[in-house]
Amino acid sequence: MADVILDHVKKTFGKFTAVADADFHIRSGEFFTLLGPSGCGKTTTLRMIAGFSFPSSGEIRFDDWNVTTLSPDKRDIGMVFQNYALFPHLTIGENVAFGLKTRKVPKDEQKRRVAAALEKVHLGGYENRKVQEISGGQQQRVALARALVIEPTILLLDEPLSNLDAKLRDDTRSEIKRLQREMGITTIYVTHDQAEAMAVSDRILIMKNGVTQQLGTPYEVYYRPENRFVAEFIGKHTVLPAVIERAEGELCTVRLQEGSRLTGFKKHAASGVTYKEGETLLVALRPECIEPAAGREDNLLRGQVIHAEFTGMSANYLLDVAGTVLKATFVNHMPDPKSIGQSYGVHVPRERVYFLKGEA
Amino acid sequence: MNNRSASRRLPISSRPWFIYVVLLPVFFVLLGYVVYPLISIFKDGFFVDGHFSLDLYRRFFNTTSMTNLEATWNSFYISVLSVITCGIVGVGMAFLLESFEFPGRRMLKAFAVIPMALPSLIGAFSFDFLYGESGIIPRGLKVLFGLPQVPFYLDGIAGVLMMHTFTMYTYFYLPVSAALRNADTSLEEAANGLGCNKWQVFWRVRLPMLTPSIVAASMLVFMISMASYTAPLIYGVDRTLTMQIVISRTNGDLAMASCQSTILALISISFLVLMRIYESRRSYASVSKGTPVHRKEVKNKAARVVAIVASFAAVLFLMLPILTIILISFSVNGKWTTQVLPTQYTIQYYIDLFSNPKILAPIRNSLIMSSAATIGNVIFGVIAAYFISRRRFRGRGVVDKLIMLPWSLPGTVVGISLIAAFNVPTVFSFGQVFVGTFFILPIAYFVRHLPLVYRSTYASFAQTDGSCEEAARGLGAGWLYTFGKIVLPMVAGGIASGAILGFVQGIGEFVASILLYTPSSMPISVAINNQMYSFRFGTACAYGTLQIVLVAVLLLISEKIKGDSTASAI
Ligand SMILES: Nc1ncnc2c1ncn2[C@@H]1O[C@H](COP(=O)(O)OP(=O)(O)OP(=O)(O)O)[C@@H](O)[C@H]1O
Ligand SMILES: [Mg+2]
Repeated sequence: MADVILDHVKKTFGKFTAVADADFHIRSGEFFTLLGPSGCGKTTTLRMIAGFSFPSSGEIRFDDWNVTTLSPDKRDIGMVFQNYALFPHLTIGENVAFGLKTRKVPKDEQKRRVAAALEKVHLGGYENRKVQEISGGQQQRVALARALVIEPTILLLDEPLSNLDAKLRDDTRSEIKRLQREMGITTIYVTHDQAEAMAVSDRILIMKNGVTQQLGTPYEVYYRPENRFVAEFIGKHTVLPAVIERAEGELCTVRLQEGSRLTGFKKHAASGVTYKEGETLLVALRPECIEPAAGREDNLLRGQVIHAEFTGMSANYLLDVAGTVLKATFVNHMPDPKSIGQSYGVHVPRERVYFLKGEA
Repeated sequence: MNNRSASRRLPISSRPWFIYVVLLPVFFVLLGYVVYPLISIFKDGFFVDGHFSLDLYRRFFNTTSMTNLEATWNSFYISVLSVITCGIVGVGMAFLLESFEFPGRRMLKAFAVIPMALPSLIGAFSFDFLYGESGIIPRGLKVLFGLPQVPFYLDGIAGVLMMHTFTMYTYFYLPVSAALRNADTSLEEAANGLGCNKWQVFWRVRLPMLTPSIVAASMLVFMISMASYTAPLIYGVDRTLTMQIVISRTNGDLAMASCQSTILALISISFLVLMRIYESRRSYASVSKGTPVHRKEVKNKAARVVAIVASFAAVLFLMLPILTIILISFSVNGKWTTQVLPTQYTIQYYIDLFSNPKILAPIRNSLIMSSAATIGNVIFGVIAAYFISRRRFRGRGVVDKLIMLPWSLPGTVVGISLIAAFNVPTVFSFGQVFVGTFFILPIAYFVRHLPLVYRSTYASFAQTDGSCEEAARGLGAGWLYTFGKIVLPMVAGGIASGAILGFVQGIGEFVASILLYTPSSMPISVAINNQMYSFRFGTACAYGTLQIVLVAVLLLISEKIKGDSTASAI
C-alpha cells in the first residue's frame, strides 16, 4: 500500500507527445482508473509507473520515494498485461512462483503461497498444468494470481479483460474488485470501456490525446463533466450550442440555434461557466433526462425522428434537432413505428439542463 | 529544469547511446569480417602496383581474349538453364505429389528432400561415379547390351545442369507444395462454375497463385547457380566465373581474382536486392483458408502399377548417390578400374577413420572449426537478434541487412575477400596475418553461416512475446536473471536449430575451404577432394559417408527440436 504521485509527468517519443503533463495523486488503497479512447496514452502512463519506460520530464513518487527512473524490478509492483505475458516454458505453478523466487522466499513458503494465490482465483490444484493447456479466462486469472502473490504495494492492470467474452468479463471484473478490496492494494486500472471504469473505480482519470480531461469519482464524471469530451464520452450527452438570453437569480435561459428556449439552473454547470447575456455556451443533455413532451410547452425541443428502437427496458430515439442528433431514452415507453420521419416534441426538466463553457 | 534533472538521473541502460555501446562488438565483427573484406576486393581491383588503374577491369572486359566475358556468359546461361530445369522438376514434383493420390506417394514425398542432406562435394563426386564416362550406369548399360561404347555419359555443362537440378529442385518443390497445400480450392471451383475448363482453370487461377513462390525460388536458384563452384569443378567447366576466380588465385594473380570476385559479388548482391524488393511488393491476397486441395485418386489398375513402379524408380534415383558413396566406401583403393562395380571390399577405411591419426585429423579439424564458428555465430546471432528485434534504434535496418549480406555472397567471393583482407596485418585481425593460419577457416565459416543462425534466432525472438520480459522485470527479476531464465529459454529452440544448420553447413563446406585451408587445418571436404584426386576412392567415400551420417543425424535432431518448440509455442 502506497500513494502514487505523478508530478507533472510528460512523455514524448521524438516530436510526438504521448502524455502531456500528467499530474495527480493516487491515494493508498484506492482503485484508480485511467480511461480514454485508443491511443490516448493510458498504457504509456502505466508503463512509466511500472518503470518499463521513464518520463521525459517530471517525477513519479511512491509516498516519499522518488522512483522516476528506478528500474522495474526494484519497485515492488504487480502488473497484469493486456496479453497476460505468461511464461510459456513454465508451468502455472512456476509462473505464479516466479516473483517469490526473485524475492528469495523459502521453498515451502513459496509452495504454500502459490497454492493460496491459485485458490483465490479459483484455480486451486492447477500448479502442474501447462500454460497452453488452459483457457484464455484461466490464463487471465493466472496472470492475476502471479501479480497478487507477491503482495505488491501497487497493482497495475492494463486492459486485463479485453480478451475475454462478455460473461467472463463481468465475473473477472467483480473478482478483481473483490480481491483488491480484501487486500487493500493501491490499484491502477487501464481501460477504454467507460461502463467498466464506472463499475469498479473509486476515481477515474479521463484522458484524450495524452491530455488529462477530468479526474473525479464515477458520480462526478457522470453528473458533472468538465468539458464536452467528457460529457459525450461518459454520459453520452448530446451537446448543443446556445446563446444566453436571460440570466437572473439562480436561473438561466438560453436560445438554441433552431430557436427553441431552454431554462436551467446556473449551478448545474461545469466549472468556469459564466452567465452574460448574449454570450454563447453549450447545453449538455443526457438521453435519460429527456421526456416525451406530452403537451408541455416549456423547455420544449422539436426534431425529426431519425430512428426509434425498443429494447425492452427503454425506448431509444434519435432526433434531428436543427442538424444535431439528439439522443433520447424513455423508460416505460412504447415507441410508435410510424413516428420515423415525423416531427416529435420532447421536454427537458429544468433541473436536468447542464451547461458547459462555450467553444472558442 | 525538470527535464534536465530527470535525464541526468536516467540509468545508464536507458540512455540513447547505451545500445550502441552494447552493440559495439557486433559493429566490430560486421565491419571487420563482412564490410572490410568486400572493400578490400573492391579496392584491390582498382590498384596495380599501388597505383590506381583500370587495367584489371580492362582485362576483364577485354574483347580479344574473351576468357572472362565468356566465363560470365557461361555462368549466366548455366544459371538460367538451371532455373528452368529445377523449375520444371520441382513444380512438376509438387503438382504430382500434392494433386494426385497414388500408391507410393507418401514414400516418394518422404524421399523428395533427400538431396538437401547431401553435402555438395560428395554429391558431385557420386554423380560422377554414377553417370560419368566411366560411371556405373553407362558402363553397366554397355556391358548389359554388349555395346562397343558407353551409350551416354554426363559431362561438361550437361553434367553441371544435372547436378544443379538434382540438388536445387527442392527450392521450387518445397514452397510450391506448401502453396498448393494452403491453396483455396474454392477459387478453382468458382472459376469452374464460371465456365472455365480444366486447362483454363490451371492457367488462369492455379498458376497465378503460385507465381510468388515460383519467382522467389527462381531468383534463389539463379543466385546459387551463379555461386556454384563444385559442379563446374567436377565436370571440368573451366569457363565459369567461380572457376576463373579460383584459377586466378591459384596462378597467384590475387588482384585479378579480386576484380572477378567484385563483379560476381555485384551480380549476387543485385539479385539479393531484387529479391527483397520483390518480397516486399508481394501481396498476400488470397490467404483465406478455404477448402484444402483434394487429391485426385489414381484408380485405373494399369496406372496404379505404373505409378508404383515409377515411384520406386524415383526413390532409387534420389537415393542412388548416397548408396553409391556408401558402396564405394567399402571398396579397396586402386582396385576398381574398368569393372562396372568395385570387386574387392574392405572395412579398413572405417577403421582408419578412427584410428589413423592422419586420416582422423581432417575430421577433427572440421569438427573443431565448425564448432568454433557456430559458437561465434550463436553469440553474435543472439546479441544481434535480441537487440534488433526488441529495440528501436537508428541504424537497425542497416545492421540487419549487413548481417544478411553474406547469405548472397558466393563461397569463392567470401574466400577471396578474406584473403584480400587478411593477408596483411589489420586491426580486425589484432595485428596478425590470418591467411595461412588456422584461424582463417573458422572465420570463413562464421561469415558464411552467420545469416543462417541469425535469421533462425531472429525469427524465434520475433515470435515470442516481448512483454514476458517486462513481466519478469516487474516481478523483481534483474536484467541478467530475466535474460537467462525467461528470454533465452523461450528462444532456445530457434537458436538450437539455427546453430545445427550452421554447424552442418560447416561440416560440408568446400568452396571457401579449398581457397583458405592450410595443411594443419584441412577440413573433411578438402580431404575428400585430395583423396579422390589420388584415386583413393574408398577412403574418400568413407569420409563422405561419415559426413552424410553426421548431417542426417543433426538435421533429424533439428527437426525434432523445431517440432517440439512449435508445439509448445502458445
Ligand atoms: N515506443 C513508442 N514510440 C513511439 N510512439 C509510441 C510508443 N509507444 C506509444 N507510442 C504512441 O503514443 C500514443 C499513446 O500510446 P498508448 O499505448 O499509451 O495508448 P493507449 O491509450 O494505451 O491506447 P490503447 O487503448 O490502444 O492501448 C500512441 O499514439 C502511440 O502510437
Ligand atoms: Mg494500451
